[in-house]
Formats: sequence, structure tokens, C-alpha cells
Amino acid sequence: MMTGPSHDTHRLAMALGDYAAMARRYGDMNVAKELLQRALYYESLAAELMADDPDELWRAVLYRSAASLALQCGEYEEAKRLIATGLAGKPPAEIAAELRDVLKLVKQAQKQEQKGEDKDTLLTHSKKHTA
Amino acid sequence: MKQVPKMRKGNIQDTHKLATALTEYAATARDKGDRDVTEELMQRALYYESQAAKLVAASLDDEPRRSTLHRSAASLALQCGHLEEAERLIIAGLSGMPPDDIDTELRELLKEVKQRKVGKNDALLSQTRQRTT
Repeated sequence: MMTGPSHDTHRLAMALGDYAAMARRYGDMNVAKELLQRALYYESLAAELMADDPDELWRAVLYRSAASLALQCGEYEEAKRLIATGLAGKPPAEIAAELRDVLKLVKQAQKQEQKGEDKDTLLTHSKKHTA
Repeated sequence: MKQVPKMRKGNIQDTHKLATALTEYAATARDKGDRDVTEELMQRALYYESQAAKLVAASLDDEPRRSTLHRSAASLALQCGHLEEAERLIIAGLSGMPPDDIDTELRELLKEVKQRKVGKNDALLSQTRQRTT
């Protein structure tokens, strides 16, 4: 069970993600992007705080969630780094599979971006992996 | 826990609009009782409003925009409890050529900052006395 600073940081990241979704619904795209960036920052921090924790489940969940946020922010290299770090531990099989799913989405998004598609159209694919 | 914020490029109006929107979302978060989110959004609003003020700081003739942005950023700094930053922004605003009404508002804000500083110093002094007696 995740507790302490990592838990608080994760909760802030999730709350910011919710507000980003609200901003998106209202059409405030600049606010949505800003809040998503902040959610990514805090979720990455939460994951780093758990980096040496023996609780592999939560560690992997946080890296998966941070990677998903990085994907939504269009930060593909950062997403890959987070996925690799998540997989570098011993994540439970289910979470490892989800990390690989996010990696597929990142690669797909990178290909689509190379073809010139808008990043915003890619965001909905990755949301289900945010914790 | 706060990171050094990334500089986001943009024009003055867009940066100011983002700051204003973040302040509105902070108010929503406050109404909902999300204290951490409120604090985060206010800090980001302050960051962007300060950036907008900085972008116009050298344009002394660009009034009332210049002083209005400095007043707004100072007010956010005060709400965030950044008293030194608030004072700096007010003095920067006054050092241009603000219209009379904004000049008055900046001076009122400066009084408020000074009162808060005195209150803070009194509280610190009181704590120190308690520890040393």
C-alpha cells in the first residue's frame, strides 16, 4: 500500500489530471495542457519517490500512470523512459502488459506525428492507463 | 516539492489569459475544498502573470497594460504569501508611468504587503521570545 509523500504527490497529480479534463471539456485547451504538464511532473515525482520501494505493484502502477500522462502531453521520449524504468523492476505481469500497451501507443503516436497528425487527436487513446 | 517552472513562450496577452484562467480554476478548486490543487494553480497563475509583467516591463509607454499586469501579478504573489516578490512587482509597476487609479491601487497593495510583513515579523519575534524564555 502506498503511503506518505509519494501518495500525497500521486493524489495531487490525479486531481490535476481531473482538472485538466474539466478544462478540456470547457474548451480551455491552454489550461488543459498546462494542468496535464503539472500532473505529469507530480506523477513522475511520485514514481521517483517509490523508485527504491519494494512494493513493486505501486511502483509499476505509478510509472505506467506517469508514462500515460507523458504520452498525453506528447512527450514521447519521456514516456519511453518512464516505461523502461517501470519495466526495469519486477512489475506484476498485468502491469507489465499495460506498460507494454502504453509503449505501443507511444510508438503509434510517434508514427502518426511523423505523418503530420495533430497530437490532440491521439490523447484519448492513452487515458485509460492513468491510475 | 516545487520545480523550477519551464519557460513557456508566448505573447503577453496569451500569457496573461492563461494566468487569469488558472486563477479561475483555482477558485473552483477552493470552492470544492481541494487545497493542494488551489495552491498549485495559484502558484502557476502567479508564474504566468509575472512572466506577462516581465514581457512588458521594459515598455514604459505601454500603459495601462504595464502597471495593470504588475498589480495583478503582485496581488497573486500576495495571495500566495510571497511578500518579497509582491513588493518587487509593486515597485516595478510604480516605477513606470501608471495611470492615477492604478497608481493608487499599487500603493494600497504595497501597504497591505507591508502590514503582512510586520505581522509576519511580529509572529517570528514572538516565537523567538517563547523559545528563548
